[in-house]
Amino acid sequence: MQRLLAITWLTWKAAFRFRLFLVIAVLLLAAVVGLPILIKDDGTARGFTQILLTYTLSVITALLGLSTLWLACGTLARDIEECQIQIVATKPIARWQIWLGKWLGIMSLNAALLALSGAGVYGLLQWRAAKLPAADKSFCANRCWWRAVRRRNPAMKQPLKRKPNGFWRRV
Amino acid sequence: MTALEPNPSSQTGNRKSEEVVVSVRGLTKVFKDFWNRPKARAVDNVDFDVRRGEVFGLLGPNGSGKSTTVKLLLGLLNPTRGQIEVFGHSPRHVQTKSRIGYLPEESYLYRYLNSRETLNFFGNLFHLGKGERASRIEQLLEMVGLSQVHMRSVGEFSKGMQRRIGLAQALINDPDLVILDEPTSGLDPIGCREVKDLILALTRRGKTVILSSHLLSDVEDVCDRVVIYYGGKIQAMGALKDLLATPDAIRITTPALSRETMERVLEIIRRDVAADKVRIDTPTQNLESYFLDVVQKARRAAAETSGATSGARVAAYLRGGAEERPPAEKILERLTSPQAAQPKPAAPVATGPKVDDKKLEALTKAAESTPSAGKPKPATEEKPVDFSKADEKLSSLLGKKP
Repeated sequence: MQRLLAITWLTWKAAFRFRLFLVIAVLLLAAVVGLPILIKDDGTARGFTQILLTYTLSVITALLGLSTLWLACGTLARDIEECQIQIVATKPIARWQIWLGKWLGIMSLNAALLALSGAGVYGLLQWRAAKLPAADKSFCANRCWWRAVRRRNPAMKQPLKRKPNGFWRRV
Repeated sequence: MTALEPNPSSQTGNRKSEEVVVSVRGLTKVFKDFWNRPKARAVDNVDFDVRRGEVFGLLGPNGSGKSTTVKLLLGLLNPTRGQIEVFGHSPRHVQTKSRIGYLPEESYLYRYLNSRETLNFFGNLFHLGKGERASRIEQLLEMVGLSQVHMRSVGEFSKGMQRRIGLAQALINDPDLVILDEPTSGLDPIGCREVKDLILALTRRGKTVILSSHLLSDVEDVCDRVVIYYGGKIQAMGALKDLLATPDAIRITTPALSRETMERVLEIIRRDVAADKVRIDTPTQNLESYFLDVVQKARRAAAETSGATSGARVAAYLRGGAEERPPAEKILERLTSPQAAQPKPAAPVATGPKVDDKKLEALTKAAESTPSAGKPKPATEEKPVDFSKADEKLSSLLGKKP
């Protein structure tokens, strides 16, 4: 496990050193924040939520997919091209462990970027929802965001009401 | 061999054993093109064994197959034919690799890691514990003289500094077999000397070293046995002492003699040898020793440098209990002593192993049989009392002679 984690850590280090993480993170945040501003919705809560989620999640998927390809090709190809693999391969680590370590590194990077962009989408949704009329706020709270959760948990079927501090509570 | 260091073969000889660490039989490597047609025969039917505790040199001009052999030994390439065993296993056996340290001919290190991160990464690959890893990293950085620049990334290092950190990563696991491909390329003379001292320190602990180089002086200084490659084939193989010996000549080195003594000695020699075959010269120290001397003096004058500093000492875990003090320390001590400030022509006399006992015995007998040659005066006379006793014994012995 120590060897796998060492390779994983190396992948993270390379992503930060070559500013890949920074570039992708900036692109993701720009897409998450910029797209809802550029694209007009129909003014309803349903339309606004649909537009926001559809476009931002599409861009996030595309960017993360591209970055995965970029990293997957680059991280191993660079090691072979610059012959660092010749040193690593002479250490007591199996070839599959090198491959798996790289894969874990790329996947954990993706997970981190996904969490970052997901948090951005959620924050933006909350911020934009605060500006909606009262009826639309209620719709958002009861029909959109908690719908999936409440479907699985009957105890959460009570309607939500927004408190003055901005948080939602069950009434 | 320089005047500063004793003969390495005498130091390593007692640590050698018959245990075969690397066994190569009929090794052949043919590089092929896209259509699987033979393109180059890099290694051709090579056989050799490397025993535990010896320094084994791979010599040859560029493109002779040295580096290919090293890559085959490490499992980086598959042989076309033949068999390789390292510690009784295939070179691709993962656990066997934990006993091997490898320094490649170029510094193939991750340029974005600093030297501490580099050593930490390779320490993790060897599954070293956190405390052990940290301790070894400190010692290695100190040894290779990079402890002051440990936060700079390897990409910013000079070639010599990259070689140093490469050497440190090769030793992080305290390997039983160290494979060094051109270890002194890019290093300054001090670094070269430190690497050679390190190799000797490793062999004193029974470690095996395979050294691939085309720098003959490096090989001559440290290797016990060598193979010489040309065109992928072994052209010569054997102990360096045997390969380099010139059995039809002898060399006697003495302190400076008076003209009369010289004449007497030459007169005796010319009785048996033609005058044009006798050569007299003054021993000189080599350029490496002189350079080290000059730099040590400059260092004592407190000159600061932003580059690598001279490695303080061989890491403690690499030294083990094999020696009380590291060779680097001994060298520094010798260099800083007042006697080392000027060339010492008498120094080669002190290298005990160079004296051939049989020849010395033969010469002694010849001197005894020629009374006209007289008794040679000892170089230093510290205890005259002992000599008076010896004179008495000698006179009594001579008196008994007819």
